[in-house]
Amino acid sequence: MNTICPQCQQSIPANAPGGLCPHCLLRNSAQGPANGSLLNAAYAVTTPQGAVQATPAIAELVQLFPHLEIMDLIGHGGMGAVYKARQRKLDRMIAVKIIRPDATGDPAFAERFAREARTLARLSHPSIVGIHDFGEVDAKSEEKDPARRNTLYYFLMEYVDGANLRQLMHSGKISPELAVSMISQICDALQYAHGEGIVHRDIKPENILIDSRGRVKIADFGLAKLVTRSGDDWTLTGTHQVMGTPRYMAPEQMEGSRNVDQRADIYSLGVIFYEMLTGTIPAGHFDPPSRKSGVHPGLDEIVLRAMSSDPQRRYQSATELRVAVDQLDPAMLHRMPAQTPSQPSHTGLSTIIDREIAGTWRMMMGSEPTTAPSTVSPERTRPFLLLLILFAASAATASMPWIGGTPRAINAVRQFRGGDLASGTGAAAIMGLCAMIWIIVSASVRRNVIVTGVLAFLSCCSLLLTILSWQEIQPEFTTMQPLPGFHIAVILSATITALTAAAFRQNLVAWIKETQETDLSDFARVPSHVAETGHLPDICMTCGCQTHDRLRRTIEYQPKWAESMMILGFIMGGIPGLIIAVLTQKQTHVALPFCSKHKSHLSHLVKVASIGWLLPALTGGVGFLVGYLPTHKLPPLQPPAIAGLVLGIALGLIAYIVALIWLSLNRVKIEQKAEHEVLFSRVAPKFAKAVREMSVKA
Amino acid sequence: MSDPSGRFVTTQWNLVLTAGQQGAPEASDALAALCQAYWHPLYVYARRRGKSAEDASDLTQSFFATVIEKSFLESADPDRGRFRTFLLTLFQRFLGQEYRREQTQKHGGHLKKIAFNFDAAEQLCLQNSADVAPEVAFEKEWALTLLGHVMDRLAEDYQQRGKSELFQKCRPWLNGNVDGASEAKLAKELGMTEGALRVAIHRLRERFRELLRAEIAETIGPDTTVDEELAHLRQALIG
Repeated sequence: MNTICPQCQQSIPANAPGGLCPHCLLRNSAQGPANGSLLNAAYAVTTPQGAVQATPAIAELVQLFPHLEIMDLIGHGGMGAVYKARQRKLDRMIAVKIIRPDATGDPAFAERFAREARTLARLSHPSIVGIHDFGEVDAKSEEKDPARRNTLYYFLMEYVDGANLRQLMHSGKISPELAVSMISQICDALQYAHGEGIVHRDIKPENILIDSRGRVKIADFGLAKLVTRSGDDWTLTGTHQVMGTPRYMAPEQMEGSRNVDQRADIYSLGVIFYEMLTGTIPAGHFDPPSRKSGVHPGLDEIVLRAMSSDPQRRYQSATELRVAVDQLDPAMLHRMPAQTPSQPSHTGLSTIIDREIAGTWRMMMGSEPTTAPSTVSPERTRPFLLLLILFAASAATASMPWIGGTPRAINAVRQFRGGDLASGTGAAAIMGLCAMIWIIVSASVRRNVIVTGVLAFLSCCSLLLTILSWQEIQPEFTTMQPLPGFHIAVILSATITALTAAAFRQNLVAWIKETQETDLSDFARVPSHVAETGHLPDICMTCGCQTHDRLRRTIEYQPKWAESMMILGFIMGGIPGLIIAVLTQKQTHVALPFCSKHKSHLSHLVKVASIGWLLPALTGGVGFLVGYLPTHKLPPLQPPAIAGLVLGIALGLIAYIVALIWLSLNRVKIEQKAEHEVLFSRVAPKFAKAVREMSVKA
Repeated sequence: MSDPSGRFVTTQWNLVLTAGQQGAPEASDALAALCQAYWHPLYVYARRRGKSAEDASDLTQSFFATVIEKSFLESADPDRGRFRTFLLTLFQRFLGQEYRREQTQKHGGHLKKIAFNFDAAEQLCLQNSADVAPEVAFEKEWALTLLGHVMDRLAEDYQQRGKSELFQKCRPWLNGNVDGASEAKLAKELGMTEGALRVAIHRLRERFRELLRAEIAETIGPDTTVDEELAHLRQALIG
């Protein structure tokens, strides 16, 4: 009988007006008008006589502007109030903006005001609210005290019959098409103004007007310059709010830097773009628009680039932004269903040696040194690295003299000619099988780790024995023909060993993840774009104290596919690995919060890392000289010289290793850089906690 | 349920409250106008009180005749905040006294102004839930009647400006559910850009809000705010 409203789940009565849900109607009307919306003075005050009294301001204005027919207050903000009026003589609608500086007044204000007004009057563009006139009037106030006499500064501007962007966003999310079309128009206007040397400095949704034909008009150009000089200018009568949180202000503007140029406007526009697409303002740890509201990921790049905290990385001109936006495929602009967020890909980390070698290579090539080298995290090693280690371990074990029996074992292998190779393979097979069965049966990750580890080790031994037996057997054969099936046997045991090792690794990873899950006190995972724009918590990463400073660094990293190739290259002999490392490395800039005390912390780390390769050479040379000088004989090298050289190198190496260890124990480490995330380890616990909290809120 | 009367005088209830004591004619006119607008909730109340459809319609009509002729302005106590409560109290008293009255005062000249549509009202009574207390039903109907008036005024407003089609098409958006796809379609249909449509919808909402607040303001006294009454009405609708 009665339908149910899909929004509020209440039943809609039969006599509901227009068939609309009355609950929703009333609810929407209960929300007060957004800031700067139409305020009809008629409803502001009603006297018992039922007559309508205009707000005092309008009455005052009517006196001050006899040639204007003041109609309504249409908005107010931090800078002043705007009224709708009609110019009698010209019979056209205009807007009157009143700026009221504080009573104490700045004598230079008048001059600045005039200068600014003349500058703005030069702007003539269909998407910029034009200025018709400006001036000042003495507000006739009842004040006897001449010091408190008020001068009202005013602008006569083009009247825009429409709404501002804030109000439109209040009604709901703006479709990507509409957003893009508005951004395009705004860029047009901005480019024009920037070309005239005028930067807006206060782009925000309240300043972007849309008329009834859907055309965008930007208001309040350059006025921010007028009022930021003296903080008093911001207040109106104190009853309404002053300058709100400057969420649209570019970082360099917030810092009060002198080098604020047109790119600050582009930043603000980026924030607005984000807000249009997602309905929220990006703050702290924020998701890119595609993840937040299901728009096409192609838009992410544009929004985030416009919002880069480094002006160098933004679009350098409004036209650039407009071109980027215009070139978007229209298909991208239709709303897409919210996509599942893609899992961040982890790249494998190189070992300390790889990083060192690659880093040294880069240094020799003259590019910026890397940040602190990282230790091997077992979580992220590749299976074959693990295999290498296992092989080395088995080889070492097999050749240790006190293990004994090993040569005998090999001799024993010799004895069973037909079954020699089989024994090694057989042993490996059994190990592998045991490992698989154990994993299926056992639920405990920890136990799996131990068992599969042992089994993997043993299979490696078996494999080694298989290979070694060939060595032993070989001299027996005159024809140098391998025993039938030798290769197959080797491959088989190698495969089984590899599988076992992989199983071991997987369990190890799972186990470490388990332990790490609970102990994250110094581990921080940050999305790339947040690190790039610097929207990290204002906490020093080293010591945890409050800081608003940001340290800009460049991180190098390898994409996933290149990582594996590089390791292969290293195994093949080192140089190919280096070449791959250099060719495929990518850079990213991040802005990290460090307090002034620890700002140089990272550079210290880098310096220590980079002198590492230099030190042993130096100390070796010194040692050599120390040994050489007393004897002055060359060649042959006298024992003292050799001793000196060796000792020197050894000392240098030890010093270097000590430094490396110190490095690895110090905060902070950039653990790894994936395409979408940066992982920091050994950060201050407060920082890690704050990052976690941000990601929970987001 | 349409209101045939013309434009309301601003803040009629205030007028009644303050000028009513002196018996000023504007005050009685204001009271009459208010009564004309809100007969429907009274009918519903009468029905919920157990009166038959015929009796309820008779009672409502005679009540209004009495109000207009005898002009209960003296009872309009300035301390009583709202017209809504005033009207209900009056009607309750009337119902209580009614059985003593023999005269069925039928259709005085004044009543010709009011267009009672009792059949429609009866239909609605049947459709809406029948198991609520009379006072609750009254308040609910009051809220709906008020909204209906606002909607009518809004339609009239747009018609006067030659924008009836726009009003009809955009009306669904008054509820605040903005669906991007249908918006784009509508914009094309109306030959507007999407931005322009957004502005138009926003305007419509603003105007509705203005008119709603104005309508509420008509019925409250100086010691109630529009927001308070609005909150009360929202509560009343839930029942």
